[in-house]
Amino acid sequence: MYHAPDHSMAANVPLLPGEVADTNVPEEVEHWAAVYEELTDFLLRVEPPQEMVERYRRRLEHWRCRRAQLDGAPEANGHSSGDALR
Amino acid sequence: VTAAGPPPAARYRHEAFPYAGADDFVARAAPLIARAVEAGDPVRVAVDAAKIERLRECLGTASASVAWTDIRRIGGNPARIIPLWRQFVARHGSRDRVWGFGEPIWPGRAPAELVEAQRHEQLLNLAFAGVANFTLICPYDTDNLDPAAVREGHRCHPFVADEDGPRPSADYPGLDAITAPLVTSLPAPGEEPSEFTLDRAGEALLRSHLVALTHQAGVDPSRADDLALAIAAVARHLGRPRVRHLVRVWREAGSVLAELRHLAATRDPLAGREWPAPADGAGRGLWLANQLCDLVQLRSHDAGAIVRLHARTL
Repeated sequence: MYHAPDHSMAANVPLLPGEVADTNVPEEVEHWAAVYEELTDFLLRVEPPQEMVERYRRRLEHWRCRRAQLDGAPEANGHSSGDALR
Repeated sequence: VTAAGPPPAARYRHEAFPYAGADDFVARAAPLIARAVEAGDPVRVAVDAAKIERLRECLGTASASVAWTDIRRIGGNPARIIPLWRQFVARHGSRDRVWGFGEPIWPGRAPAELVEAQRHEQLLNLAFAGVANFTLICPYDTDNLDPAAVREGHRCHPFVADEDGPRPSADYPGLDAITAPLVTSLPAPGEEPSEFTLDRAGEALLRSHLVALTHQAGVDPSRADDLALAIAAVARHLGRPRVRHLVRVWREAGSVLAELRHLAATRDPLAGREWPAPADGAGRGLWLANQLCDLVQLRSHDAGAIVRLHARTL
């Protein structure tokens, strides 16, 4: 059964400079997914406040989901892709 | 396809494109884009939203074949622009010619941003030196830019394309000279900075201070976290062993600034502006900082490096 991706979890999480959550530019989606993968990896090496970890983790989920949508592949969260991109 | 004349030789072309206001820009750029689209070449146009709208109207159905990017959104921190072009070129690596229109220098850039955007223009010559199928055309608004910025545009590009077509730039000094390390000093802080030691106690005080500054500025406290994380990334990847680094923090012109000094020198001019290789520690620290901050300034000399981080609060 198809489940529309739920981006609401990430919707209210503050963004980084230049980050646009609903971009459809493949290079941008790839870029931000990689950025948050690097950031969450780096957080493992420092001792950040928990809310900081949670914020970046939620953003990473969002971008992995968007990347999966653009690739037309099953999403990282297990949902199917298929909602129309703007 | 160039402004006039024969097709370019099979090598990277980096052209300044001076224009006199938006009408002139659209009148001269639209035919170039249309001809590239007609030839089946990939085209990305990274200019401001107003010019994108004008170009799309002018190009009609051909505009659907162009990748459009609002440079004011992507390129506020100019160090984030090269990866955008790198990805676009890589995506079309097998094509005979790939076209980019990118306008990183625009009227109203803050002085520190302008310096870094000009550095970006210089380093584009190095970043894509080996990419033979890429032509990057950089518009300069001669009606609204400071004449010194236009002159620097001529110096940063091997070619200048005016209404008569592209020609070699008489002001371009060659790749080695244009990519030599920046020797200009960073301006002194506008107010007395607060200093923090980067140890456990100092980092806690630093974060509290950053939260207070962003709160006073009325921006989301997450910006304090972003800046604190950028400081940590720079300190970890460029810090010298067994040195307890200090960070200076102050507010200036709508930004919170943090500066780390006495860091390990880096000799890679593109450090932080390209995706970092696995073993590239300095590049990784600067790259992370560039994603987290509105602007990152690096001055690296034999004696060491200085990194200044900007988080905008306006």
